[in-house]
Amino acid sequence: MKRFVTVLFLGGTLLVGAVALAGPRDCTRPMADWQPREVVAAKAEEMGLTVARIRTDDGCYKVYGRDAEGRRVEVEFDPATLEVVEYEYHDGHREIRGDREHGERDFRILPRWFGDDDEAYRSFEDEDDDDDDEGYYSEHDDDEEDDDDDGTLLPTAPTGTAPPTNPLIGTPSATTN
Amino acid sequence: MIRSTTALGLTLAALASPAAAREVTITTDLKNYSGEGAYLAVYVTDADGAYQGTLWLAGKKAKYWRHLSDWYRATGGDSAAVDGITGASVGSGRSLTVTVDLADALFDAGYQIHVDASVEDMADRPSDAVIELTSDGAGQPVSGKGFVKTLQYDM
Repeated sequence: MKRFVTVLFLGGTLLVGAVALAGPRDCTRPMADWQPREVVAAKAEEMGLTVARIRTDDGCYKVYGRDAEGRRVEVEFDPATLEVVEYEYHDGHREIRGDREHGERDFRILPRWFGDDDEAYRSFEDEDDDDDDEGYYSEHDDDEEDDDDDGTLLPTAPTGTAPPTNPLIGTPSATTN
Repeated sequence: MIRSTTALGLTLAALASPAAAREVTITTDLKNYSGEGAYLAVYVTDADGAYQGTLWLAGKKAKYWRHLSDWYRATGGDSAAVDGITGASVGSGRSLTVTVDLADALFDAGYQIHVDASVEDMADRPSDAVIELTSDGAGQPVSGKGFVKTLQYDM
């Protein structure tokens, strides 16, 4: 019986985890209802934000910038109503997140060496991963990969050519421990 | 015919392993940063900082390689540069060990091993750790400035 309860508990945990990972999308507006980026930028500035970049993420607009106190912030807007769906900001080494369902909470303490420079903070979260969304709303998810901030199409795969490897370097092998 | 086969074999061996080379083991230990697996690029630059070659690229999704920004700038993310030398990303607190033959000429001549690191939802750390190749630098770890705890090479 104890084993059964443990298995049930584990199963339940996995199920909850899977649901949390899959999760409902933050925004589900049809593309026809989306406000233009300029309107989003104006809204963010009206809120006192200095906008660094605007992307689409998880069906929402996501604005990266600084607040009036100079703290780095990320704010997700409903693309049609421009309601704030979710936000996060850094206060020293605290990362604080808030959303319309759960209010504001301390999310995590960042490592001491974690930089405050915007360039260092360009996270993978900026990009859509096709594996995660199964192509749903892909027209608006893949902002980073297929267009720049102005919507101009960019190559989807790396296209550079590396200089030839120095012949003084042999053929490597590697292991992870 | 035997002679030409032998000559070919020697030529191929020379290509795979530089003459007057030593086997070097490069170990990158990561901090316990409590995040996703780190993408790492391990590569060599010369005394002028010019890219010379990639030793390993940990992290299989090419779309994220640009976050290894120093390496990416040098290579343009060219997948041919890492053909056969890519593997999985490296977990928090884990280590990556790369073994490679390096010619003697790379030592005491200003050549450096760089490790670029990037972790999803955390940060990009180009040249997180850098160590110069010297005859007596083996076994002496250097500290990283981001996700890398230590970088060292042994011979």
